[in-house]
Amino acid sequence: MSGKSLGQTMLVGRIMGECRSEQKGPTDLFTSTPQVKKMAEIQQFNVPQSYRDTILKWNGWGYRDSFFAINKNGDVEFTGSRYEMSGQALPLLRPWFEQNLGIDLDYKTPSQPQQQFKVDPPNNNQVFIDFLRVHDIAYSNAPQHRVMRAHGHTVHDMMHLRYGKIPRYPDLIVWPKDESQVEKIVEAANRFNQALIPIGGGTSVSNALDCPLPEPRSIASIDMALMDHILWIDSQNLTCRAEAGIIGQTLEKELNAKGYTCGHEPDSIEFSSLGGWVSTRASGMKKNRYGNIEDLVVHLNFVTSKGLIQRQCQVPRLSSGPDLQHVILGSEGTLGVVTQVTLKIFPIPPVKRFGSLVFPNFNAGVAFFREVAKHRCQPASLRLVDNEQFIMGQAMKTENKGLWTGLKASASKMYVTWWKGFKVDEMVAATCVFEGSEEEVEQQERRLYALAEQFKGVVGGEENGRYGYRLTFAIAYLRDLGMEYSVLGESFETSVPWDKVLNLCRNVKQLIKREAKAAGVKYPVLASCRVTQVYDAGACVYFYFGFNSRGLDNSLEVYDRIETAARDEIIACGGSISHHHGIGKLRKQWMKGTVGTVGLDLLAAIKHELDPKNVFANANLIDLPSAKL
Amino acid sequence: MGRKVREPEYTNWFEHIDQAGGAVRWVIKSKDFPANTSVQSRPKVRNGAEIKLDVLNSPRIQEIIIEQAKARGCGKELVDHEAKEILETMAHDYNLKAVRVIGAAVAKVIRQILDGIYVNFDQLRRIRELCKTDSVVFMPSHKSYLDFILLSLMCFDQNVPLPAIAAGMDFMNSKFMGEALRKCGAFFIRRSFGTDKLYWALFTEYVQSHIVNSDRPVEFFVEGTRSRVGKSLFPKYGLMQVMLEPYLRGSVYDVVIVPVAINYDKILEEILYSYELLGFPKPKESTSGLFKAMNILNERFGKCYVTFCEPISVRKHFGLSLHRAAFVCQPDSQFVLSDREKRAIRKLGHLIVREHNKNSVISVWPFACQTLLKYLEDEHLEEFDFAQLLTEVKKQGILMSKMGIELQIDKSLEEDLRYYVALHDDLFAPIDHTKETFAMKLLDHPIEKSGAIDKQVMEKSVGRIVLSNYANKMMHEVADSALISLVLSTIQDHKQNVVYSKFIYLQAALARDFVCVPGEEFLSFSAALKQLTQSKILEVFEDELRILDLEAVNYLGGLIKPSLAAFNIVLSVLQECGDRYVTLAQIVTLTQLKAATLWSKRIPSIRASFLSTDPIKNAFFTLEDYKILIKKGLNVKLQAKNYEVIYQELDKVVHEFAAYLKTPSATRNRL
Repeated sequence: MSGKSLGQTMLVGRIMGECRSEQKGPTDLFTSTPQVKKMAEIQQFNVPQSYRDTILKWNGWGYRDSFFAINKNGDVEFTGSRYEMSGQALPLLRPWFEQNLGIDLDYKTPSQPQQQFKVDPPNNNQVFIDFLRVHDIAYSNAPQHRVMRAHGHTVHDMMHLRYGKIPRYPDLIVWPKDESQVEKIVEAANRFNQALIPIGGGTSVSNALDCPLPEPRSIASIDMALMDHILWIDSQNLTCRAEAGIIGQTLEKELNAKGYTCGHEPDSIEFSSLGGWVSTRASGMKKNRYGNIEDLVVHLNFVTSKGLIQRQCQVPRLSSGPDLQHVILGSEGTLGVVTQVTLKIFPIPPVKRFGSLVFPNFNAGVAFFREVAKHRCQPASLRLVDNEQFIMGQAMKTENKGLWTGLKASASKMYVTWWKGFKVDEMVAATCVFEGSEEEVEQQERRLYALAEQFKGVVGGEENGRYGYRLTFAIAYLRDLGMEYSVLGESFETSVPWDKVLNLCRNVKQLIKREAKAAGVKYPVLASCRVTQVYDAGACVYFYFGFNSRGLDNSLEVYDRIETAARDEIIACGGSISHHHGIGKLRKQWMKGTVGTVGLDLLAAIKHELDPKNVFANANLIDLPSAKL
Repeated sequence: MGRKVREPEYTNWFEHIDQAGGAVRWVIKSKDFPANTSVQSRPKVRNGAEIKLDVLNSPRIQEIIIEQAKARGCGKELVDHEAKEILETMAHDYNLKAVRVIGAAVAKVIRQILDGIYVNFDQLRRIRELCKTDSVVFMPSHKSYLDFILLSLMCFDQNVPLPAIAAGMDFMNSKFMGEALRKCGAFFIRRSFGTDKLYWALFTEYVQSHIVNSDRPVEFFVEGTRSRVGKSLFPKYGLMQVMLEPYLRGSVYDVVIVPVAINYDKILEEILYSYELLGFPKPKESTSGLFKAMNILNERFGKCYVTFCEPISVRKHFGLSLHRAAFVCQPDSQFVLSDREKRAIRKLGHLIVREHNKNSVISVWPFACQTLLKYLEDEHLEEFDFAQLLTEVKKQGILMSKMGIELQIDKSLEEDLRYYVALHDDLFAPIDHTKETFAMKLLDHPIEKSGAIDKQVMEKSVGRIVLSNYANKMMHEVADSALISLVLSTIQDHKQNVVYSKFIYLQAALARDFVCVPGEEFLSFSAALKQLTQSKILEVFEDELRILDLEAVNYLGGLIKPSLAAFNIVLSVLQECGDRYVTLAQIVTLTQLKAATLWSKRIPSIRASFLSTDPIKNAFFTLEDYKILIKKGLNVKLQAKNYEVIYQELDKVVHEFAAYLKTPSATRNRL
């Protein structure tokens, strides 16, 4: 999504208003488990009406009003009015689903209705709740609030919501409205034996938000939603300070209004938060121009059980021993809460243009990317999708494009297939975003396209580039559509040195297909990848994987087996445990191999020092030696 | 145990030719060779020239050319030129039309000289399916030139892409044959290329290019060269590593190894091998030699059995034991294997040899040869009666079936035995096969010159070596049981752990004669013990092994004893020579000389077939493994490697061996 279109096409999720009154009483949205119904007294105080509880889906991705559905013509249509493609039909998408995942419109696997969803009663730590009350900190133990903060967006999370129940819910939600309240909460948690799990946007795909089952204490979720303000913008140094709870698109919109951009654009920007970016070491689509989160952060405040960590100055770089900010970046809520962040900002570039290139095959595309990295001529964003995704992207085209666009598309298709001899089942596409002044962009385009020619690349036009990026935000919505028809899908990423990119992509895709077949999957399997980032020494690779679970009675087990085998294969092929999704609980088993035993001990030692009582008990990253708990 | 060849699992390939209406009709059938479509839907199967070009342009070769040019202080073009020449000599030039022409001729000849080729075609059809998804490597046993010819014919027959065959450079001595094989997909590698980095790089890249691109299956012989001795050779590891590297570094998803066991009733090169084993310079594989060979094409060579074994997925085989993640901290260009990884790869080589053995077909003939050797060699009889032979073979047959070893018997044991005696009657003085019984007397074979060794002994040894080679064909089935039996019949202490320690010692000492799997000593001991107890030859009483069937124990021990006796001659030769340094050639000659002298004195248990250089070399290299012989530079005069002899260690081995060779004790004393 372009920065410009963000404001136009999406509603910005801000707090809709706060309700200052104290509420008690049951809720009709979710059902409490019957035998404890009488005990399940709802305790609420100052509960804010936040976007999370008002406009987001309870059992899927994104906004309640936006989803893919089959219309009366049997075509896939995107509902709502928030996105460019909202209200439009995608006539090629259903056939694509049928062909590539073997779905059958008559075989539906719909979600359970919200009313039937069961929520276990909370384990109330009354002293803690009373403390919050005394200190005027908002809280709730109502089931609807607890459900929304009990999960991220893994396949498991979605399956639990749609067809079962979540194994464990946070017992309480607290809404601090500033840093001092966060400090109070952490202090009280240490005093009253309360476990805490901070939550930002809730878009985690690593089970980082899941409440650990063995945790005997009451768990409170610290919802950062109220801390969503930009504190200041410094046009001298081009920095801005914001509270950690601010959502990406809100931050971007407010900066845009002042003529700036922060340049950090992860695929989840509509929903993920600044604090979440920091604590997962996030990466943005346009990192080539702006850098990843670790390059953008200038300063931050971090509340721990031992007190606040912050640098005494806001400087571009300093040499003062190991960089403690790097201990915080990627700590995934295990050490404390990010409360405020100073980020670099940039004047909005006057020109932003999409572009695309078509290559005869994936190998040629990767060779081109390697060369681009060598010459360091990558535009703000550069992505290479494999043939499967190229075809999938084509299937995302909407019907009501003018005759001319359609004609042009087919003419260019004729050009590459007939004239250039590309094969439809082998060709791949690179999509790019150029940013800068008109001359800069023109120069970038010229240079990139000239280099592409050496690798038999053909310029594919701006419109195709736009389509490529459309898939980025649509994919999470697409997964929900798939789940309606028994398809389980997921995406995962890795980073890998250049010399191993091709091997890794090929082997992981092969593995997914073969493992799925071996596990008894009866329909075609989707295994697709794209190279989403170029670095001097390697690349980031992103995989999509999906299969039709129809006829399997252990579909989640099959899914787990494939996902685990795929990560093993990634690592065996020289890839990493994660490029930007983080570890959470999902990838903990590979941490030892990644950082070694000494590394694990060091992480445990840091944890023990900063949080001796393990108040931040989300159990992400590493398993703590139980003796230290 | 023992591969049984039966319909419908096996069918006779000749039927396919006959059904087609002859070799020519068979060869012109239209073909449908599948390509590997797992990665690309329409993969490009490269021709010979394209493969060569890809190899030359690969980063590995481009880098080594620059490196070599720098090291030699010459221009890049010079090394480039050399690389091209090496590749020209090496590369195959596969061409289907040529395959058809050559295939027709070969099929016709084979149809004429063999009585049948029995193949488990269903398995080959499965492998054809595998070719659509994986890089396939055929690893056949290697006992004859015919091996790769047959394998290619079978592939052609079943529409399996014909393999690229790693062949020894010596096949190219005949220009015509060399080029013909090249057109059929054979490529040629030097038998040794020491530290020639350019050659190594070209050869590695060439082989791996086939595997990575999955153009066609690759075929190579894990034993490195044809076994002249009827049993498996100690596996060679170099090519194995080259083949597996693409998997370990992730350049292919998997490599699927298909062991192929090929057994012949009668080996084409039978007499030739015997001469070679005596140490006569190997006649060059020239075309005229081939025409000479054509003369023997009027003879019959019996049946041949081709068994495609269960494919081994390297990915599954190594699983987590050879974790590829260990390699990924190095850049691709710096790929090296650690010792642990090398060991795992070597073990796989041994497992493949075991697979060959497990799938070998055993006829009655090896047992007949064992019997003949016992009487004609150990007891120095002049001739042996067929009726007695039949009785002895029957006895062995009963013992084998008791031990769970199945023999391939087509009609009846007697009819089969007569068939094999007839098939091999060129070894014996004329036989009247119509008679109920007849005397069997081995013929002498002419020797032109014999050097220091008694010519007469040499002439007698040729036929005896042939017999001993055939006798070897059943040894893999009983080697471990025979070792246990030998220990029990010679050592007083029958405690299981004592027997086990002796067993391990002997198994290791004879590891080059009877290939076993390193690291599986205990497994093999337990399996053999189970075989012996189940067949009521032994029983385990508390921690002791008790003999129930002394005759069987003596028979089994007797099967393996000659190998120890031959080894022992090498030991005594080394002890007697007393030199600080020795060379291989020197020890081989001295051992032959000593064996010939002892045999002429009709010393019991000393065989003329001990003149075969193969067991002598095996003993020599085992002593090198034991660090009793240590490579120390070059003997300039003899142009051979010098080995230092560590006498104290040698004495230990002599002492250990003495116990098993005691009976008859006279032998040892006179040595």
